[in-house]
Amino acid sequence: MQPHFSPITAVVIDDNEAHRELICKALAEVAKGWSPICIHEHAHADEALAELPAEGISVIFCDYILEGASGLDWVPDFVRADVGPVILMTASGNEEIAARAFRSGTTDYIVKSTIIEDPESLREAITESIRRYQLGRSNRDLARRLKLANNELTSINQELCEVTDTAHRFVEDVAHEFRTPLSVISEFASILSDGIGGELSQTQREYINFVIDASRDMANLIDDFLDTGKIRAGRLNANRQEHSLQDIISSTRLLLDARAKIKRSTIRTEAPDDLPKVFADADKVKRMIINLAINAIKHSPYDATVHIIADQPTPDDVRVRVRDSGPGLADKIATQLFERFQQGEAQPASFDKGFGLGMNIVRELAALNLSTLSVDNQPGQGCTIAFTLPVHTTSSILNAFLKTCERRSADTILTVIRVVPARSEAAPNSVRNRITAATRATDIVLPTLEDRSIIVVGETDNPKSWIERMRLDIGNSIKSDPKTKPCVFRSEIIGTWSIEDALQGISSDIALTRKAAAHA
Amino acid sequence: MHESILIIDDEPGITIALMIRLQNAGYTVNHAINGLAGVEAAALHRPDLVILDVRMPDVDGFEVFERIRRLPGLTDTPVILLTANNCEDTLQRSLDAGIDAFIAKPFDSSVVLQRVRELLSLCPKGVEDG
Repeated sequence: MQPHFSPITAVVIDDNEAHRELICKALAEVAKGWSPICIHEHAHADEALAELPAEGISVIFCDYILEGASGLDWVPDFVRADVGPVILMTASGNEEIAARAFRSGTTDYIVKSTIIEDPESLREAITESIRRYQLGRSNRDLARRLKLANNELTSINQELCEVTDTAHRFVEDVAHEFRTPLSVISEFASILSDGIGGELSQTQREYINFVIDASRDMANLIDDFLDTGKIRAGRLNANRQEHSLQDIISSTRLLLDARAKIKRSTIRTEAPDDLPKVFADADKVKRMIINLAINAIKHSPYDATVHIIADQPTPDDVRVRVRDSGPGLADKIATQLFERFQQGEAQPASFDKGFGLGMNIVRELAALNLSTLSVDNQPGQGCTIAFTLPVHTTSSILNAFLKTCERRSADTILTVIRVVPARSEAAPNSVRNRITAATRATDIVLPTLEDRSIIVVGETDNPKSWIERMRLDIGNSIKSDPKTKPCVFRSEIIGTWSIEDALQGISSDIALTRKAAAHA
Repeated sequence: MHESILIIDDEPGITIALMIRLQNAGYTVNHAINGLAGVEAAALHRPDLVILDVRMPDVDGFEVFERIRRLPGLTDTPVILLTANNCEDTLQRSLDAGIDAFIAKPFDSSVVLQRVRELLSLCPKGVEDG
């Protein structure tokens, strides 16, 4: 029987005068030799509420029946006052009443006869309910402090993100600034090499070519670095269209032949004439080929050949293989490279051994192009790095897209919507272009179908907010340029699928679309 | 008679490299280092083509472009705009203003040379190429 150290107040609310007297007397008795209790008695609950003591703990004994109304109706007010535990008193015990009492927030429930006849139990009830009340209070206090701490953490986190962003942007700005003086170096070295400043000796030309090559290397490095930044910030978008791979490869020749000069390397390209068109972002494919070929030149000895071979290993894919004539990679490095290819997107912080930043960017761009990368290392004979591109048919593109999604995360949910440009849209391509610009690099806009509808697949399990965001982006781009005609289209959600089921689900629905178009 | 080109740009290094390349290709090249001097030079030399930087210390490149276009005899002179970035804004403004081509800086002078050749062949002066 522990004495309380702080004075307790008991507030007794009972409209029956006789009961009230008995209860107060019982409380006074229990206080003797235990703990001083200051007793307030009220006939009406509103009175009691208005006169609740401001300090100390008040145990509120509230009668179940008060002037024909229920004491339970008043309990929430007493609980909210937060001065102490609320104990409901009843004339007779009843499980149902007990349940309702606890539900409405009382700390305990006691039968009046117990109060009057059983001082031990009364004392226990008081002690226990005070204990529970204090526990509850300290819990609430902890919760409040946790919330404050959380808020502070969130705000510090945000600051950290901003600081990191600023740091990144600073580094990117610096890289950007590098470009100008670099191009001056490059230009003048090239002017010298061409003999414009006067005829050069063989040796002089060789030396100046080192300068040219290194400055081009650095320009490439800066481009790769800035692109990594853009990808990290989600600012690099993929503009995937139908392209001829042969054309893309040809467009790399000028640059590659210039870079090959330094080692007197030969670049050989092979591409069959009947190669099907691919669905890709041409600029990014060009960059991938250039980076891989430059790596191959670096890994090969002088006067060697670097091969760029295009072929179609499966009906769905076209493949580009870049092969060097070097000694091949060390086993460990080849394995590491292979594993990273399997993983999908690159971690910007670490380079692939032996390849520097260039390979990093190849991996990022591969993901954007729905490519699968592979390495074929032949010690003593050379190393071949290959990437695939989907053939320009809806099913091949979808397959490649699903593979890329799966590599990123097998649990992805995909949402498919169909966009139908309004009849008034003279150029359906304008809708397509707008949608492409408004979608993320991880979404995909499939080739326009015969009925002019466009299927868009996105990695999201919240179709409504995704579409909303798209419409907002498109709307914003129109707003910023009032000359652009508004882009009118209707969109409907076809469904959401897991990657496993997506292929079947989406393909079958597209088949339905074609049928509908045929009957229209 | 050689065709003449006017370069209006305040950045020394890369502009001089471009000048050297153009001269080597047979063009007569004049150079102005700010917008106002550029307009004066255009009035004085009556170039066959103008290469103009969009960002200059004194006057905005587009403003310079408008003023040059208003000079007698220069209303149809091809103009290449050099931009520091590829932003959509500049592109749209260029197209609206009637600029013939724009090239992002830092540029490859061989690219600029090619554009110059293309644009000058579209508006022949009735003389042979230099």
